[in-house]
This record gives sequence, C-alpha cells and structure tokens, in this order.
Amino acid sequence: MFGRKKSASAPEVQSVDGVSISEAPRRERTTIVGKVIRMQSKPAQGLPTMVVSIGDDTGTCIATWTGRRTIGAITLGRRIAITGVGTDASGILTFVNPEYQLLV
Amino acid sequence: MKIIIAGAGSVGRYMAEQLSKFGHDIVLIDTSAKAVGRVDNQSGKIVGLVGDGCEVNTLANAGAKDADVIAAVTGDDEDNLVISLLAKQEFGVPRVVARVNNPNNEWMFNEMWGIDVSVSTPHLLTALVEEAVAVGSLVKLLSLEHGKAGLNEVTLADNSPAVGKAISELALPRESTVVAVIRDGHVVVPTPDTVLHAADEVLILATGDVESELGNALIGNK
Amino acid sequence: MHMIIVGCGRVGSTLAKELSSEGHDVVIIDRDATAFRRVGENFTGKTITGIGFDRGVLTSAGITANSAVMAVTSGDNSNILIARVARELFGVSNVVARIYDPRRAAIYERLGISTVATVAWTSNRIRQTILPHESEPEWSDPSSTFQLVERRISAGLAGTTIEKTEANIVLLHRVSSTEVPASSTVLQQDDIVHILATAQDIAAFDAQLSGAATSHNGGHS
Repeated sequence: MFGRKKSASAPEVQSVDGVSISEAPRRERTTIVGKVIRMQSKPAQGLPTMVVSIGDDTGTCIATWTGRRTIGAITLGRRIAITGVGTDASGILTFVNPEYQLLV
Repeated sequence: MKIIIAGAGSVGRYMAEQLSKFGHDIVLIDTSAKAVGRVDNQSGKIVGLVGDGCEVNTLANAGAKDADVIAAVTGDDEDNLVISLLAKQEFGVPRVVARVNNPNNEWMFNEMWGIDVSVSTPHLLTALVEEAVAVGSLVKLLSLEHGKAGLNEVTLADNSPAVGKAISELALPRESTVVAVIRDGHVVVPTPDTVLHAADEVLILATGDVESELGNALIGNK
Repeated sequence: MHMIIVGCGRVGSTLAKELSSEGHDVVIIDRDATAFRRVGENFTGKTITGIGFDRGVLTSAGITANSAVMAVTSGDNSNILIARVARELFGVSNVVARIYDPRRAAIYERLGISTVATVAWTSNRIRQTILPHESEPEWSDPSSTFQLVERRISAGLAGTTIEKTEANIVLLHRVSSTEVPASSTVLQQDDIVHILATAQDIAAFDAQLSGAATSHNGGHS
C-alpha cells in the first residue's frame, strides 16, 4: 500500500565537493576525495593509531585516527571523502581525526 | 614566531614574558581576567585573552590557525590534554607542548592527544636530583622527538671503564654521540681525542634503545 | 553486564540504582566519597573513591573489554578522558560520555566516542545507548504495531547502503548532523540511525547488526 520512495526526492549523497590533494589549503577546514591506497595500524607506545594513505589524481595525503586500530569499511581501494584541518608539517598533507564519508 | 600559551598561572606568565623578550608574538589565554592581567607586557608583544582554551572558539580567537606553537600549561592535566588535542586536530598547530601536573597522568601525554613534547616538573626535578647525586649511573635528562631520542648524563665514577680513554676508544653504540663533557665547572667540547677523567659529567645524545650499551661503555655494567 | 559509572551526581546515581536493581554488576566511581550518599544504603553495587581516568582505579573497578562504561561526571574534559582510556587502553567498546557543550560533543564524536549532551537528555538516554535492546522504543503508534527505535551502526555493518539493509531508516545522525538519508547513503561505524518499523522488522535489522558484528574481521564492502 505504501511504497518506499526511492532516492528521487531524498538528498543525493554520492557526489561530494572536495578539492584536489595538491591544491588543498593547509590549516584550513577542507574536504578531499580519494581512494584508500595504504592502510597501517601503528601502535604508538603501545596504544593504537590508524594511519591511512589516500590518493587522488594529484597526490597522496594521510589520515590518522588516534585511539583506534580499524574503522568499519575503511579498507584498501575504498573511495572516501575526508574533511578536516590538514598540515604538512611532516612533509605530507596529514589530517588528524578527520570526519570521513564512505563513498560507493 | 606566533605562540599561544594556555594557562596564565606563574608558569604561563613567566613563559609569556620570557618568550616575548625573545621577540615572539604571544597570546596568553586564561579563564581568569585577573591572572591574564598580572602578566608584565613590557615588550608589548603579549596579547591577553580571557577564555577557556578547551573551547574551539577561544583557540580560534587566539589565532590558533596561524600559531607555530601552542603551550598547554594550565594547572589541570585534563585541560592540557584537551587543549592539545584540539590544537592538533582542529588547527594543525605544528608544535604542541604540554605540561604534566600529576606524574600519574604522564602516560597520556603523547601523540594520542596531539602532544609533541610533554614536560613533567616532578619528573624533571627527580631527574635533576638524580643527576646531582648519582655518580656512576646513567640518568635520562630529556626526551626529544616523541621519545625517539634522549639526552643522557653520566658522572664517571673512579672505576668507570671510560676513565683514561679517548672518546674514540669507547665502545659507544652507533646511534649515540657525546655532546658535551663538563669538567670542573667548564664545558669541554668533545672531540674524538678527548680523554675522559673520573668525575667528568658526560652528556650523550642517543636515539633508540641503547641504555645498556651506554652503561657498559661508561659505567661497566655486566 | 559489568557496568562502570564514573560520577555519582544525579545522573550517575540514578543509573547506578536502576541498573543495579535490574541485576547488573555495577561499580560507581567518584572523587568525592560523600557523593555516594546519593545511591543510598540499599545499593548492592560497589563504590570506589578515586579518579575515573586513572588506570589503577579502573583496574580495581574490574574493567574488562566487555564492561560498559558511562562517563557522567560534571566535567566534559574528565568524561572524554575516561571514555578514551576505557576504549583505548582497556578495549571497552560500550562507552558513553556525557558532554555538556554540544559543540565539543561533535568534535569528540569524530573520535568515535558515543556522546550524550545534557540539555535534553537524562539518564534514560544514556541507558538507551548502553543497553539499546533492553530499552523502551522512543515512540510507538497507538496500535503498538510500529515502533521508533534508535540503533548504533557496528563496524560490521559499515559500508552497507541503507537500501541494502532493507530497514526503514528515517533519520541518520552522524557526528554533528542529523538528516533524512537517501537510500543510497553508505552507513558508517558509529552512525546513529532511527528506524520506524514493526517489531519484527526491527528484530531483523538487529540480527544484521549483530550478525555483521560477529563476522566482521576488518571490513567488507
């Protein structure tokens, strides 16, 4: 009797507005869209840290999550959008505990 | 450099005053207007901000976005941890320094909370006391680079295997270097030919886990 | 369940009494021993005077990875510390922190910590977060056919689109925003979803949640 409306009227969330990694401003809230190209679970002094390399056509950046070893569905090859304040103090654009959005 | 100091107690105010004399631009934050007001702004380079450093808005108003260093030196460890995390996570501050009030909390003061360098006064005092009284044992004075490097000190005992040897003859581990020798109140700049005497205070910078090798070379551990 | 509550104020003491009377193994921690008068003399749980983020204190409270930890002290910072220590050092996954300041709550939710803001919420909300399957639905229709319940997405269900779950997810709360989601939205770990459905359909979704949780071994698409 009642049909579930399909995506037609609900907001589409697959296209995310982001900037390319090479042009991403430093130390300003920004969103980049890319693919997970490397995963590392790095214990720092025995406590868990998750370090993920994300790449797009223009370069690579790093997302670090403190206090976790894994995050569901963040795996190699996953398309993902990262929003946060990045710095390149370590030589590569790095985000600490960014917001993320899994993309199909 | 632009430096934000959170906590205008005696430590924070002293830091603000000293660092501003070196020419840095300082923003000093505290929830107490009175505390902020006590700072001596002779240099004119200190800006006081009354607010809670644990709030993103306060850090934004303090110019965290452009800060080179933030020092979280309040008398409250919880506040220092949170301020540090926000500085790193929300503002990408390149260097975050935090004060440890209670040594029991020291274990948390690292990258997990965005902290690059932590300073624990009780720990430092203990190390310095140990350095003053301990002859013939290796004392770690300071950790650098997230704990990957350390500055160690040994006052050579009479029976140290290093006494009478040149620095080049010591079996020091590869990842270490003698950075100074203090003898009779003078600093001797070490060269490979410098011969060590008993009662010399030897300062060594080392990376990696080399304490036992250093001990063997300078103290004669088994 | 083994439950550790830090902060014996109004919310903490209410939770302690309720959960203890329901048969759970409750330990309540507070810095100030006089706060324990709030749980009364008939309290069958354990009280510990100490600092809730101290490793020794949590160990003496019997914390294990299967404990549930509720950080409900009067200080946001303390609550975050407690939550992180419980989760990161002791491996506790069922953790909730009360955060008074909603702006801070959003920041901490990014760390994956369940937070509950105080303004509109009471001990009921905290209870719902810790024991989602043993709590009353947020709403039922007059015929009691349909219920509105809240669920937290597990790591195992992350990566699945709403469409694929076949559940009627009407609201999605993620970090700092709440939205009516598209069916193509990809669910993420720690998302809070509100489902409006029959008890049967809700049970089917719960089976997906826990089935996915037990088979999860680092993520699947």
